[in-house]
Amino acid sequence: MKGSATATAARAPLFTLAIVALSGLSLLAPETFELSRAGLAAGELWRLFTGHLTHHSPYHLLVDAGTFAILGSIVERRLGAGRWALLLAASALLISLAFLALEPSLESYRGLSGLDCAAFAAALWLEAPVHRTMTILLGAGFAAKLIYEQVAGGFLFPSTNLGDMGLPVLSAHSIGAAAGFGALLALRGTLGCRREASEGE
Amino acid sequence: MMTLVAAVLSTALSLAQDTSGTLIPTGGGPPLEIDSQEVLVRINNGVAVTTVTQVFRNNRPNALEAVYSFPIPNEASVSNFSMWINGKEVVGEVLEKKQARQIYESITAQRRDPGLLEQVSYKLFEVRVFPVPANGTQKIQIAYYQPVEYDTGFGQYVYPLEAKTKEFSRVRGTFKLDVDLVSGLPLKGVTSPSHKDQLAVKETAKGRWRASIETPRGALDRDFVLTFEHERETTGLTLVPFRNGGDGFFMMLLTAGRDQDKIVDPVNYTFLLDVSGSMGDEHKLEQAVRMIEQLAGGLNEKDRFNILTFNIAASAMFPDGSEPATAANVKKAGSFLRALKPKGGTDLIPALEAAGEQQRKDMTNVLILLSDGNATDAEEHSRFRRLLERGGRVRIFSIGIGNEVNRPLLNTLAQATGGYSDFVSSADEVDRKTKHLAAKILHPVAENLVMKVEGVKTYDVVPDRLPNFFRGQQLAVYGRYNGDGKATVTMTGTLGGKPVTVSTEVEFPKSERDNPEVRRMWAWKRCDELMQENRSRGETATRVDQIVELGKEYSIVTPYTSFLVLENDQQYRQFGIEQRNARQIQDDRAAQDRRAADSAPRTTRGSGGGGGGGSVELGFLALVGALAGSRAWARRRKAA
Repeated sequence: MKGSATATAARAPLFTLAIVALSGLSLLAPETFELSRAGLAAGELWRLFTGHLTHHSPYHLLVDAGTFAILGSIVERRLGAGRWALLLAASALLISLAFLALEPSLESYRGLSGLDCAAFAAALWLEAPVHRTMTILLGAGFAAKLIYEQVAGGFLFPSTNLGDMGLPVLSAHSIGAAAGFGALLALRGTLGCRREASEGE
Repeated sequence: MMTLVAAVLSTALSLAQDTSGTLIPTGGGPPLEIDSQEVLVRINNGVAVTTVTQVFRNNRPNALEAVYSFPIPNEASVSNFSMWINGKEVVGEVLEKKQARQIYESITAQRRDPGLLEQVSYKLFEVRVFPVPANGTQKIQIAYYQPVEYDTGFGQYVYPLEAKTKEFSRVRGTFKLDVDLVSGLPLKGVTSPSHKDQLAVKETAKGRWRASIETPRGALDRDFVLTFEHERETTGLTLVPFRNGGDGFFMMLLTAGRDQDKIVDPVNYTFLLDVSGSMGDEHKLEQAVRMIEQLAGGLNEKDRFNILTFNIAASAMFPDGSEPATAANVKKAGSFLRALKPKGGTDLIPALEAAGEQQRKDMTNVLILLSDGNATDAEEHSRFRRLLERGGRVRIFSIGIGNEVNRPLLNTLAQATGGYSDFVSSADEVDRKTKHLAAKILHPVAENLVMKVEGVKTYDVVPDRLPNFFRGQQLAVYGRYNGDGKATVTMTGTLGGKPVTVSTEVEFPKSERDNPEVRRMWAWKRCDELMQENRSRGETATRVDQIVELGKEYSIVTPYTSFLVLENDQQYRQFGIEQRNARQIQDDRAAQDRRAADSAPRTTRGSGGGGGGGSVELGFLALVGALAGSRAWARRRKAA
């Protein structure tokens, strides 16, 4: 595993960049790919996965996909493209199902930020053996942010709103983080990685 | 154990006319003390839902029967009535009035415990409660819907508190009022002209405000008035939809902004001022006089005016007819007004006839009626009807002063003549209302309005015929829709006599469950329109049946339907009563909770419905930056 991890670390994060590119393309026809109850009811099950790639505006895409590029690169270098793709698919499915169950008023959803949070949780998990203090601090900060959002009913920095690009879904971050973390734990065996494998960097 | 709580309405208790949200023993004696009173107001883009929860205390050693009566403000519609029986909330159901009374009587004969709420007059509801336990308490909750008044960039909500008698004017425990305000249009601020010092206000998120008052032994001596100012006056259309399976409901809010020029041709104004004895209460006459002084002071010298005062008879300041609005005449009017003394009863018919004689054929005529408007028989009066049929020569602006105003009467007068009606609460800001009125009088009105929706089928739209639209006004149009997707709304009409067309695109959603208020408001407006038709054209069985069906389907109390509270679900089943309201209340409360949990308004969606997005915000970006930065720093350190 150690050698494999070192090898993947040297490669460009192609899968992550492909996802970013697909997100950009989906801006051309977001209605076809967004997560929507009506679409799913009509049998368009791909929306469970593609909804995360769609966005309400170029600005929305820029912040979500930019963050994804950073976090995806970290995770992809640790896990390799195949395992990262598996983790991402599982997270996307979990997040979509969680939205459908926990946000009954939501008719449709767009945005990579749920997966961003999943990637962030995964990155912390993978980094923890190497950068223990840093990951504990960032993990605590992340947890505090999620708790604050749920308790206060708003973002810590409400000025960073969605503008005209739809309604911010407050639970996106906590659902995303939980899904990412859950998927990582559930797939640990399948992914064939242990956190120790990360020590190559 | 059999519960001994019952509530029934009585139309016979005239003492209730003098009370407000009070519980009075039917066997005589002072009203019961209010242990606590909580008022929760949720304002969602023009619709206010007020939930009043009161706990009454009976300090006597014997159980009592008592009448709970409460006034309903500003064209409101009662949407729920709950009582707590054995500590559990029991939600009422709406039935046809006669059936509700029959069931009630059959149960009370067995000393069981139903509750019945009926409408006494257009604005007064009463509930008879039996028994209020000896040395015990009774908790009652009422919810009602009302459109929020909007004018010239200001929204206003009024909760009537003013008690007529000092005995009723204080809560024994805590009085609490909480307002949750959601606005799709940005707000400049929220304030209370009536309770400025007691009100705490906070903007909790963009477009979302919370205001609250909490006082131990709270005084109920004046109406609570909340005003909120929009950042700018906007001309436009906002769609607020609701759809939860089947055809949808919508509310369209049309707002007129500043883009209208002033009228240049001279106008003949007649101020018709009520000086009956009741105008002496609560400084009503002073308020009316102040309004006239301000309006007259703003007239052009080429305009003409006259002031007619009336009680059971009318008399004019200028007996020979209107005079030019010169500085000398306006000054003379001030002296005339300040010398007025309120006395006598109110008869509107001779006053309107006298005002009719003041009109000039060579000028545009405007009649401004200021009254506390308790001439309730006027609508039945054949002369009144003839007067309205003559409408067209004069446009009536009717201004109701105080809370006892006969709103339907003043509304009918204004609507029938293409005018406008407004109401000034006793605690209201007279100056601001005067400014709004002046804006309407001095600017051209949009007339002959027709709304057309293309792309989505709409039906049962109320009002059926759109009223004239004045500067600064907000017009709410309610209706049903079939289908979904983008639609073009086109409004045509005339402005100052010239044809105008305004068109915009909106999206009707497939599903939208956050605005259940729209469903009830639509049904209430339909009922209201049918009742107005009954008043103006005579009652018909078809219209009454329609009102009853709407009342039962959407839980609306009308003169033909009543709320009935039974002891438990089993009793509802026993009488074959479907618990529709209990289900609707669940929907309403769930939607309100969802909105309360949101950080941003979810209601005004000019071009979409139910969509959301997950977006990275600054806090998360900072964490991601820290992670990437610390990794880079660690790598560099390792390399070194």
